Amino acid sequence: MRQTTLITLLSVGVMTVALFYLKHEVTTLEEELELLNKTIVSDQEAIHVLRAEWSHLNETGRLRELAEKYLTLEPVRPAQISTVPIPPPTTQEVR
Amino acid sequence: MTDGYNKRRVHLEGARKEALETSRSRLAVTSVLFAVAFAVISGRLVELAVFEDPQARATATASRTVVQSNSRADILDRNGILLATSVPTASVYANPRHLLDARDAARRIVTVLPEMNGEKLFRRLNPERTFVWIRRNITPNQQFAINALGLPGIYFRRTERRVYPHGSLTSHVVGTTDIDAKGLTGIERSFDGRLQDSEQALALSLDVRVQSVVRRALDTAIEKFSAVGGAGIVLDVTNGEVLALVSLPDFEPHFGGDVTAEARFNRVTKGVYEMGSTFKLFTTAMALDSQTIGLTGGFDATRPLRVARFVINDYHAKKRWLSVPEILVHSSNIGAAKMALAVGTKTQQAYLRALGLTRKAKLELPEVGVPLIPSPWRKISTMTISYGHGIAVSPLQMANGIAALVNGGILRDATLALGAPDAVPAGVQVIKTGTSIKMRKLMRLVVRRGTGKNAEVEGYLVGGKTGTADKPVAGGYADSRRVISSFVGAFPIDRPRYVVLAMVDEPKGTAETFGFATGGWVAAPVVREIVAALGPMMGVAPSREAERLPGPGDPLHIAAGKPRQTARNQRGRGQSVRGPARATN
Repeated sequence: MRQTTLITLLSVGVMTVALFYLKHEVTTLEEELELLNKTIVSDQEAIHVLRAEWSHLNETGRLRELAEKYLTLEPVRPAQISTVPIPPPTTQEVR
Repeated sequence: MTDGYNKRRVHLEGARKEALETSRSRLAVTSVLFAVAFAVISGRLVELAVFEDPQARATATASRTVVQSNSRADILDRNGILLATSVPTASVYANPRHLLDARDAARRIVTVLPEMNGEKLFRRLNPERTFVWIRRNITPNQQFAINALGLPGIYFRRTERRVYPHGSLTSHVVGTTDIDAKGLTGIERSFDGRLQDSEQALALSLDVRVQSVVRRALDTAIEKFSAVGGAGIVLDVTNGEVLALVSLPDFEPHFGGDVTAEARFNRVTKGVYEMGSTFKLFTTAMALDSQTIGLTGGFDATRPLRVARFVINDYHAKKRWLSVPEILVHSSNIGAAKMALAVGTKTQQAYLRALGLTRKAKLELPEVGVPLIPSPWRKISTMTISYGHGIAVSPLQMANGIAALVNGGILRDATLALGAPDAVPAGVQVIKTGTSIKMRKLMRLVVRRGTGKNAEVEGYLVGGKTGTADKPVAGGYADSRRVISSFVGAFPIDRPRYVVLAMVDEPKGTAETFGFATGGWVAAPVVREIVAALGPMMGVAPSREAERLPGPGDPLHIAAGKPRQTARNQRGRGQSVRGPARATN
């Protein structure tokens, strides 16, 4: 009888401690998760705003002005486009 | 379990024994109940641990990752460029019941938001209410400063603000939303439900690069000719997709209410105009398609045409018999009117209906205008409509109809929604393929030999037609200085891919154009500029082959006449014309 009680008490003790640690760990992980989620949301928002800003910075009128100011390039003219004549098939291809 | 215990148990007698027996049997019952309960729990544990339960697994591994929700979907162009998006902002509101001193709170808030009136704000903070917006969409700095005031009863709410990174460039297409992010105009309105329900971005057929080219070309022309406005559209004839849709003047979508009705007005889709001579393309197409006349046929345009009290004149009068190609090239009203009479009113109506010119255009915008068609449709209507007067259609309808004329005769409704890359939407065959091929040749001829010479682009074969229409005013037509000049073109005309339409409202002639403000002088150069930029941008191969000019004997041969700029003057035009039969070019 005493043996059983002892074993029971011991296992209760072990389980309590184990449960406590488990619970503690879950709480810590949950806090971490919440923090990560918050970071994700704020990062998502930041990405969103940056995408809007990127699109705004790529506004065609602005790009044209900058290109005219800093680049010596100009829009492609039709005369600059050429088509490569298709070469006749090689002997291997014919076979 | 000691011996003493057992011994004592054995010796129990009488009432004590009975009580013990009762408690023992109660214990047994309880034990059985507990045993059953533990067995159930153990069984469940075994089930969970040993057997696979997908639902339980999902519950256990579900990570509570919160993604940004209930934000309005983005709008993209065909290349994925962001045209409209929602950015998070803070909005400040008050619960007047929680306020300690409303007057003081109002006074202190105004120190952070100086553009607000403290007295007005105080009056809005009605203590009966529990929710009063103070200011929507404040900056993070303002939010911090208001927070630092430490006022009880002042709270923040996370809101969203619609942002249009390309500003006024696409304002008429993309549209606007109200302060609660509900669509008011444009795509924002027509796709409101879709944008609210789905996070998936909405891709339009629009191309900001093309849009920008069209806007710039139009803007330059409007400035140069001191015009009041303009419209431009680029349409893919193979699938009806709209690559550019520009209406000028346009507006900055962020400014909400501070925009004039004039700037809000979408001239491409909502505005309906008497388009003028560009309509002669439809007249010619229906005459050829109904086999009323062939390319070798023609009409006598020696004398002005008199019908009832109307006189139809030619702007570029040739005063002789003109073949069908010549009627188009010289833009003869007399010839077109006679052609329409030969076709007949019924057939004309049938073709115009088939080409979608008598009904509201189908486009994914709320701002679509209803065409004005004559009622009753008299003989004079048939005649004036042949050269684009007495019927008012939107530039969109015009471009869509022309697309059907050049793409092999198939009418597809214009669309702003981006389709799958090689998908060809079903269309309706409205004219024969053969007629379409003839129309391409005729349109090319107008640019080579006729009024559309200014649309010629080196490297690309452009075909098209000019139009100059007098603007109708109450009870008649404005003086001939108030015109709408347009050019509708298709390129490459030997295998059309794009239809480009440019329209300039009330241009005034300049010294450079010898005082002319006609479609050939004003709108054709706009189309030239658009085509020259659009071709290389969209990877259209330039044509290198030398073009043969049709010689004598060919029905497409145009006899060399007097050079264009000499034999006319603005004043002589239309003086004898009354009513809706004013001359066009």
